[in-house]
Amino acid sequence: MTRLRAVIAEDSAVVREGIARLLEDAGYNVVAKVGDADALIAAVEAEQPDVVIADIRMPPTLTDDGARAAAHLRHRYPHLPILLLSQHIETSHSVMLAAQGAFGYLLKDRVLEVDDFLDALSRVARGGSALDPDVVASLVRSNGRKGPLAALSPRERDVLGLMAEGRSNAAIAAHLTLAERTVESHIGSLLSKLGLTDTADGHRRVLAVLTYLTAAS
Amino acid sequence: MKRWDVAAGALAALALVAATAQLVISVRVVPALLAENLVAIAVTTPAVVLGVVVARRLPHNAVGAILTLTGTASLLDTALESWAVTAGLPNALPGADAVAVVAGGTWMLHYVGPLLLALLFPTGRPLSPVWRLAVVACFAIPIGFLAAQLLATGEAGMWASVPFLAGLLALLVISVVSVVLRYRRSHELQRRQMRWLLVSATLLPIALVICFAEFGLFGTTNGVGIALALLIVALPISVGVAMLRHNLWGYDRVLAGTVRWALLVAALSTVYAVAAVALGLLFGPDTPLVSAIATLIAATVFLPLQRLLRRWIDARFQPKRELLLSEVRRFVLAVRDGRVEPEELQTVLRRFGGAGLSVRVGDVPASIHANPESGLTAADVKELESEARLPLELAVLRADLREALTQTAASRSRLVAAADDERRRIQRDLHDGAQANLVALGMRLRRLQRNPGRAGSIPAAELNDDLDASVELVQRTISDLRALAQGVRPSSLDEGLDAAIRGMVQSVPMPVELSLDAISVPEPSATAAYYLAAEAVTNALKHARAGRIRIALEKVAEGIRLSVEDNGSGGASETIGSGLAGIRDRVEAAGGRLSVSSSHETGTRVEAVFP
Repeated sequence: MTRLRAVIAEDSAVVREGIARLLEDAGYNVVAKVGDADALIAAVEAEQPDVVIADIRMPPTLTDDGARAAAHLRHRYPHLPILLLSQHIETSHSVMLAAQGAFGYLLKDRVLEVDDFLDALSRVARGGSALDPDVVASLVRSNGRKGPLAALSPRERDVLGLMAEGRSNAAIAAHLTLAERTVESHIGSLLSKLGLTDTADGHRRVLAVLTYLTAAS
Repeated sequence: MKRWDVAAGALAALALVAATAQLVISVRVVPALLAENLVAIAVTTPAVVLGVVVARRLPHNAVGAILTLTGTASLLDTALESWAVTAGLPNALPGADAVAVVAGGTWMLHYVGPLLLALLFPTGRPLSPVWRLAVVACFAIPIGFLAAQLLATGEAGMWASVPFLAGLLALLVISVVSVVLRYRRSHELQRRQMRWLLVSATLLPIALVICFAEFGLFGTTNGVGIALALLIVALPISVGVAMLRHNLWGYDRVLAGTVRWALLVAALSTVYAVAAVALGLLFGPDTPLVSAIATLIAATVFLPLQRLLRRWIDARFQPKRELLLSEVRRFVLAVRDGRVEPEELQTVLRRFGGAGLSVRVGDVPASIHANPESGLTAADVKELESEARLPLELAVLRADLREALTQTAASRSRLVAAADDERRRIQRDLHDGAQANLVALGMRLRRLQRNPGRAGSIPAAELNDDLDASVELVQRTISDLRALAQGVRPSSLDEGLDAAIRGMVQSVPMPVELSLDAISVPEPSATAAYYLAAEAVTNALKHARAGRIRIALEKVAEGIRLSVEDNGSGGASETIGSGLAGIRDRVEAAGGRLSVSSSHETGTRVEAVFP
């Protein structure tokens, strides 16, 4: 299997090096490590990587330069997978991006949950999505008081959250220590309660759930 | 625009000719006329001369020329009369008979000037275009009268002149109406001018009545001369005064005072007389008791009577001043009751005194200012000011207070902005330093944790290096956090302000002269003082390139004083956003006072006194 080529954009050198070593240990080929948004765009154009990991807050303005660079790259390379790292939760904008697929949005400290982080990165690299659990939780919270979400059972709500994070059925089953068939039936039940059509394609189901959550919130 | 001074000059020349003619006739031909003609010349001279003076001063105003015309017309008439008198004498002047006929119809000339004045004074323009007809009539009627006299003689002449006599009477009435209307429509200054005219103008109808009465009763016309002489002297003087003395300060006051005292004396005399007569009837006349009691009664009524008269007369002679004073008194009561704001004094003054009045809160003490058009004298304004002292002072205090509040609000928002900036800086420092270090440390530990499982055991040396790097991250984080905490509040302040300043100057790359008393300075003054010292030292090094810095901390009468002096190039300023402006806010927020003096010669001295 060919090693995926990754570009890392992060202004703090220690964190940048840390992520790079993490990725290399996990079998990625880190082709560029940059410290600001302009360098990120230049590196992507030069290297044409398979996946981009970018901090949202970066020079030059130290506000949301990373997010704006990501939007620019998404416009130029619609299929380029991008994983954004953030200091704090910002829901609506990130969820809208995640719902398009090949996009991830994680809090930066998630990096320390190395397995989850690498799992999320590989999902994004394969065209899936990855939403930080905190973001999903706040989404579900804001939707949960009324409407169809209130009709879900607690277990179904857990499954919905994990789906929204972008995990596969197998990963959900492993996370909840359930049989994969049980997860399947929970998913079928919650999708019908929400009035969404079930499809066999895991990605498309996740995207439908995300779209539902953002539209409702 | 017409040059009335030229017209006045021409008329004056004509007057000179007429006067000369009179003198020549009376000296050479009819010596008996000399006294009469000298009187005529004497009484008309003021009108001619003053008219020229007024016209020269106000060349675009017809009043001067009209005034001259008044004198010239009289002189012309008397000159013609003198000429006519020679008719029938052995050495009669040529054409004396014809002149005698003409002279019989020229007496109306005397009225032309006064009538024109009534119609045109003091602006030199008629009230409205319609009134121009009356002006034209002032000339047309005497000319018509003269023509009637010349064309028809005897009985017919009498009847022919009747319409013109009636016209003259009508014109008199019309001119009085014009004066009244003009007075009503004028502002205060014009009214003052017109009051001068009114004094002498009242002589006009009186003169006319006297003449008609004398002619009707005795068939003689001796009074005419006297009445006209009075009129002709009084008129130019009052017109001249009115036209030339614009600021007729005190006139109303003097007039009112005179009338008031005259009335007071009359009233007191009456009271005394009535009392004396009444008491005399009771106790018999000429007893000392009667005089004493009558005097007592008169003395008792003196003060209330004087006050009553004052109010009554002031209201008539100085209505505006009276009105203003009473309105201001009412306003002061309203201010005291809290019904109106003291700043509305201006509105009250404007409403009742016109736009010429203004309140000047910026003056010390606050004052009322009146321009000449307001018609108020300096004494009036003083009186208004003393009546309005309360609202004036209140307005000043409130203005000061507002100013102080504005400054406080500005200082507060600067402090908030500075605090926001500070928070942002701390957030950034935390994020870029401690937080990033901790994330990196976490990742390093994770990697150590994961790698043995994947690649077997790590060599001891490599493990050691990794752990060294990890500890180094921890140490760097600690020192970052310490620097951050120091920026928020120097921990050395815990050992006292003097110790903190000593610690601070250790990093200064030049000797700093310290004179620090070990005073316990409470928060927040201590922090403010510390930052003041730090900022002043930084400025001295960075901007002023000083060679010597001296810091002193001492106890003074007002509290605690911290001063920083340098011998640098000066130029310290407190522009918005500068370090010193921020320091001022800090010092003032702690209740202290900051003073900065900075010059090229003496360097910079920054000093704060905390209570």
